[in-house]
Amino acid sequence: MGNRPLTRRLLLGGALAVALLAVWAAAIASLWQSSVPDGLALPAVELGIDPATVARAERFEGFFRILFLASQVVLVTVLALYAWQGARFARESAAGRIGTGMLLAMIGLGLVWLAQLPFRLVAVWWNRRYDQTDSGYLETLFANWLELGAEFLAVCFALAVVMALAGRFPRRWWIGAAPVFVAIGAAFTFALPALVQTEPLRRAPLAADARTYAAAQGIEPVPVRVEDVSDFTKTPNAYAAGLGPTRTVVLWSTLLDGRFGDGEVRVVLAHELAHHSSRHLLEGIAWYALFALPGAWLIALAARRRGGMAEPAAVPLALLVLVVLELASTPVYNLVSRNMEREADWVALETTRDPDGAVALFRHFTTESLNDPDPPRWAYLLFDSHPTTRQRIALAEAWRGAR
Amino acid sequence: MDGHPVRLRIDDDLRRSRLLVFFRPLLALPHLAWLWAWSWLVVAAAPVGWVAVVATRTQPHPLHRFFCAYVRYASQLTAFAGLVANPFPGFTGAPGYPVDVTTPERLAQSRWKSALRALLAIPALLLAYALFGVLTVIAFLAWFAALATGRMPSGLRDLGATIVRYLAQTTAYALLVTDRYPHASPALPREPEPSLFDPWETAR
Repeated sequence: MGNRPLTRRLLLGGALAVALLAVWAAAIASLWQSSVPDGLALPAVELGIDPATVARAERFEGFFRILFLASQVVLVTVLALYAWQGARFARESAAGRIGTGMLLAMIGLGLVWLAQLPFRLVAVWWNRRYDQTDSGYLETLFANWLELGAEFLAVCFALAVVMALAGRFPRRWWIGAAPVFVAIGAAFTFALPALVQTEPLRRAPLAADARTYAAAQGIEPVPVRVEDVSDFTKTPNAYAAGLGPTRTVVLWSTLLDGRFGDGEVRVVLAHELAHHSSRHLLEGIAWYALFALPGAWLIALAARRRGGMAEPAAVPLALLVLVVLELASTPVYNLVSRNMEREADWVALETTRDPDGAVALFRHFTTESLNDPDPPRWAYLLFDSHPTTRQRIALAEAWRGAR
Repeated sequence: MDGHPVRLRIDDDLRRSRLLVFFRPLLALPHLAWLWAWSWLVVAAAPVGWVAVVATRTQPHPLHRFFCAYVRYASQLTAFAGLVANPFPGFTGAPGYPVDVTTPERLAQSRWKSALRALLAIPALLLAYALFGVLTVIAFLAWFAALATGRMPSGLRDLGATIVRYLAQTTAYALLVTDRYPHASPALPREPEPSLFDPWETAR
């Protein structure tokens, strides 16, 4: 008799968990949908890139892979030590529970910044060696302080939310915190175009093409702006930013410095517009939402070992768990990202109907940015947020074949 | 001569955590954001307080408490950011920080002096602005010293504390927390309470 309520609770809990899992799986299946035809076979293609350039790109990226792995080992080690001993820094605080938690989180971030600094400097050295940047070492040192300041503010805000919720709901705070973080992420995505210093695209023909492409993809015209990055890199890039009324396509100035032809830039424009027309930014927020809840739950579980997230002493451990979860989810994030990039490539091909322009662009990325066109499988799965150059060229050829 | 009602309390052992010193400008950021938001509320509430003092000679009690907390908080943050104090301050302006200011009781004030407060405060505000620049230089120099030795040089700390006090007195005067004008000279008269600290006294 006495076990009946417990059994009922277990059954109810189990049913709820199964239902949640089913909803979660259905959401993943829905978000994974792509306009790239199912079962599209990619043909074997020649890269068409000088072997010496390919070898140079392999050396360039190979070094960064090792550097990244080393930096992550150091990062986790530093945070593990901080999780072990960091609570003692609470004595340096005259603030209350939440303020002390903020201090511990900021110290943790500061230590991470210090531990990563040598790797950043080595990265600058390597980029300079391969003529990918003119940025100086001191410049790198000071430029990052602004970034770090923004991170400090963001982590303080996030912790204020979490610790306030945890103070009121010690075991269930993560249910309330996850939606708050998703809302913050959405607000950041919405506001990003206003936070980046850009100028309007001054090349009238390209701007006109962007309007034509937007119409072809069935969306309202999206402003195209240019971000001057020439002070810190020579790598060409572009990105889609904003939601709804703030939707923008941003081209890096390095894409317009004469190294890339208009045909190639048009492919980039169509690709970035495709991120908007395929609603990839909204989908990105949805993906984040799917992982935010279980992620917050895991942090809550770990923090219970230090008295729960309401206690400042739990903050260093929570920081470690957060970083480990982020690292563990990187391959998943990259898998999702590659799926979106592949779809954007496909929509761009449908829009420009210019596979030659696309192939030229992808080859050019290897020669200019030293993208390894054929990375090792493990590196591709772990690090690459885009399909490989060979895959992108093959997709263009597959599109040509399908027409 | 009576001591100024906004007085300095120092319970600081000059020890500084090197890690906190190294990241001090960044650690102050959430506080600066909070001070910015709080300052907007203060700016919005100040005219209400001014009208109340001119009409009734006293601040409404909630406003007086609100302004006193603001004066204390701004002082604690200034002390922290300027390396005059070591620990990370709280966000409410509660008393008890190692470098803190006392705030006065709510007292009746002269209507005329209160009515003209915005004008009368200008010289003090200008001097406060200049002293803030001096405090910035102190913080810059002390950053290197504290990072190297793990301690704040007492001379720099005392000079910084005096500036914190002047800034607090000026803010309190401008917000009609007190009608006592800020002490322009660092050579203050002896403070009456033994717990109060005159950095110039100990520096001698």
